[in-house]
Amino acid sequence: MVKKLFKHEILAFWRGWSLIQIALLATALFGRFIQLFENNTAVYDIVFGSTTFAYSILIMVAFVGTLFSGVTRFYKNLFTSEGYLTHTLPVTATQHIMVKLVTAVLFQIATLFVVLASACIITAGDVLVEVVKAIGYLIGEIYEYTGAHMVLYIVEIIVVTIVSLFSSFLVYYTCICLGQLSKKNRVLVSVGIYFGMSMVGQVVSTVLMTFTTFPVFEDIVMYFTDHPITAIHISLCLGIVITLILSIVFFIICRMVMKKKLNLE
Amino acid sequence: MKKILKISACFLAVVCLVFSLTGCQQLDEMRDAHGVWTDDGNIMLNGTKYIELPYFGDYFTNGAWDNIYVSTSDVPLLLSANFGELSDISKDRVLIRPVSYTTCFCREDRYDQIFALVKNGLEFNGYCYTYEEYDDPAHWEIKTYTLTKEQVDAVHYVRGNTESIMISDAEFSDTRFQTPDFVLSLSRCLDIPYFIDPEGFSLVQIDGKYYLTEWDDIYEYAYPVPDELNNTFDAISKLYKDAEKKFEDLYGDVDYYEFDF
Repeated sequence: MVKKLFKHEILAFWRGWSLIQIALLATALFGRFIQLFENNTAVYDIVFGSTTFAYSILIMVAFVGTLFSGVTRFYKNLFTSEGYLTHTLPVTATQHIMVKLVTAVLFQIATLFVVLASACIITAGDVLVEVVKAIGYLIGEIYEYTGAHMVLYIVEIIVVTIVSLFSSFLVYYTCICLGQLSKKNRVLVSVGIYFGMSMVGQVVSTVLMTFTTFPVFEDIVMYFTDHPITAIHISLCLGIVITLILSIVFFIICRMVMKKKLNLE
Repeated sequence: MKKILKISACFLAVVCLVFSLTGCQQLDEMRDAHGVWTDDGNIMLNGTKYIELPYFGDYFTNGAWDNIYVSTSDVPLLLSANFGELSDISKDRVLIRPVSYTTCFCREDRYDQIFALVKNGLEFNGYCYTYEEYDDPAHWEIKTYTLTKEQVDAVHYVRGNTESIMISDAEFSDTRFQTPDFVLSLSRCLDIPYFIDPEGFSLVQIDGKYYLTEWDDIYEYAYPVPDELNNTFDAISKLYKDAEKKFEDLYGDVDYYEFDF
């Protein structure tokens, strides 16, 4: 059943998602085509400038659109009138959340690959060759400085990125789940909860940052300054652990609300 | 269906090929500004070799120059400004001087000519000055005027045959020379537009009268120009005055030589 749920979730997500990605790739192709006529005239500057601007906007739309689709699909499918049908399926609350979450994250990763492909298209030719050379050189420079630690950094960065992707969706899911506990204006309440959570997060971060200026933490800060390679490992691992813990907490909240406090419109 | 797929594949291949063959103007400009150190310690810039000249000094050109970056061969083009060494190149792209060097590098085809000049030390036999010429407030160009032989002789005549006036020392300063009509710096130079010696004279005009001024460690002296040479010095300063007038027309009444360019 979960497999079928995945399949339908992917198909439903694909419909809206694919249009934006096609527009992005088409703009990249058009932008590259325009460069065939490169010259010093104002007309070329205007056309190429506009194309580049549209391309940049479409990149933002692609990422934000995928996030928006993931969140709205979660809300509509589980907490509106569609939910009456969805919750009759022989699938647990955990599985519902996992299907929505994994699909959204997969499509966000797919968006990243499409954006990279579009960047390769718009810079195809000399520019792409030089960009690849520059990236290769920088990686070489970093490897010279960090040695084998670079491999670990790459692994840690991939893990923290994936965990952050999950966490980013789970934050919205939690706000929606908590919002639907309200009898009226559930969307507004969800938005309010989101801003509240963001503010609390900012305050906690600022307080923690302030603590690092205390003499008690001076030795730790000195150690980090003297051992930058280890400091980066510690920061990345801490990031993974904290994000993972938060994700688990959000997941538990969503599951509890869906299992025990579900109240459809 | 197969035919459509075949045609589409061929079309894509052609498109990819065309895209890969087209260059980028900005990349071409970057290539023009990216030099590479060769194994023998010289510079390669866009297929042209620049060989080190045994010239020591700060002023390798008497005109304007551009900036390029010289790096080792493994540094990619896009990172030349980050990992390369900032260098000056003369406008005609004959001489390059990395900022941290006191020697400069000469283009291979002009090496023999310029080496012959510098190998025994430079003999500055002329004078020149630079001025900024504005076409509009956004576009300006540094230009150089090299004095003619007759004008150089006139400068030497004034220096050698007129009585100097001390106009400034540690305690005294002649107030007339504090607000001249204009001041331009005459630097000693060669017949070719490279290597100037900033030690020279200043040409000053006060109430229509020309003076050549020079510093002698602590003291500054002025040599008044005889009236019969006024026409010569009018000709020397013409381009400078015209540029100053043009500047005034664009920017209004701001001191030309005090303007923060």
